[in-house]
Amino acid sequence: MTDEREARVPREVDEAWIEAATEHYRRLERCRAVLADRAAGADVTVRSGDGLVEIVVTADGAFRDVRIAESALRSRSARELSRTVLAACQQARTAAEWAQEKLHEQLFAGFRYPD
Amino acid sequence: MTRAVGDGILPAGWRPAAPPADRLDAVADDLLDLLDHVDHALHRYGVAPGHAIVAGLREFRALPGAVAAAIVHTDPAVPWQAAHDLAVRRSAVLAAAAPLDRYADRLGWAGAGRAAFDGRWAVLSAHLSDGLPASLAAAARHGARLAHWYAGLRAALRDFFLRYGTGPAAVDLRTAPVGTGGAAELSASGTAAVAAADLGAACFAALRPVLADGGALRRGVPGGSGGRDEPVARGGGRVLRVEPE
Repeated sequence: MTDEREARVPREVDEAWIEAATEHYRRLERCRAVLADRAAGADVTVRSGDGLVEIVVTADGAFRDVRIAESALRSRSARELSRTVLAACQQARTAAEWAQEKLHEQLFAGFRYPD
Repeated sequence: MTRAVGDGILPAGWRPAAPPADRLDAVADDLLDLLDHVDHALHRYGVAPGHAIVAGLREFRALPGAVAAAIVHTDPAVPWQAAHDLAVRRSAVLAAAAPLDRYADRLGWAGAGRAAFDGRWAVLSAHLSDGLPASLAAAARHGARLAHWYAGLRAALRDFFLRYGTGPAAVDLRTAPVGTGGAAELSASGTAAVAAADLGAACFAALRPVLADGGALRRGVPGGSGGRDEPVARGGGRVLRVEPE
């Protein structure tokens, strides 16, 4: 155990510590529920660079929709289109993580874990 | 030479048995690192109400890592060496006392002075040949029991780590993004908290029966009667138990 961590984590536990720890757990549980609820309801839409593919993903990472423009079917080969869809999905995942972080910042700006 | 000492017959050259090798040192660093993560996660994420860890915390009054560190850093060889030294002293006292009786018998004088001497000598002789060796043996046996009990604690801690050190809870805890502070940490905090509590509760459960035996050991008074010479093995010899006096 590092000296720094040793200084933060108590060596002895009393009833007050247990009560605070259980309350802290409940508070985190509520925070997780709020974040999960808000993230599940926040859609993020990502469009491919050529504008032919759109991916809709929620902030918790669930893919909701894939929209492919009609023109893509005429102007792109199946292989090209597959690459575009895959790239858009990867961007959508990154965007979902970014959105979840933003939601976290908005909801819990003042929240601090115990030192 | 064998003498009746305290609660049993011990040879003059009796020595307490050394505690068994617990091999805790081989895993101590990894064990303490894991339980350091447990302590940190319990501190950072709290404890789930109703989880077994809560009862353990009330009972042990310390976080699992702190308990483990205290056990790891205590060497059972120290009380055992002290017990061994006491047994050596007992042998020396017995060896010194034996010829004194013969010398006293050969005294070539009689009368009131001799009677007075005999009265005092009888008391002193009994102390040298029985009382003092019995006290030394009792203290030595208590020290040996203490050493064996500590070895039992260390073995229990080792067994805990061998069973849980690479289990699912340990993996959950070690792969959690502890300390990152963002959404990922918050989302994973529940899993990490439960993993830490599971590991802590398992650690307490492993130590609990051996610690309970320590209560019996604490009640046993050096010099008391009725105890065994050495702790007896229990559970296939993995955990040592000190029988109540």
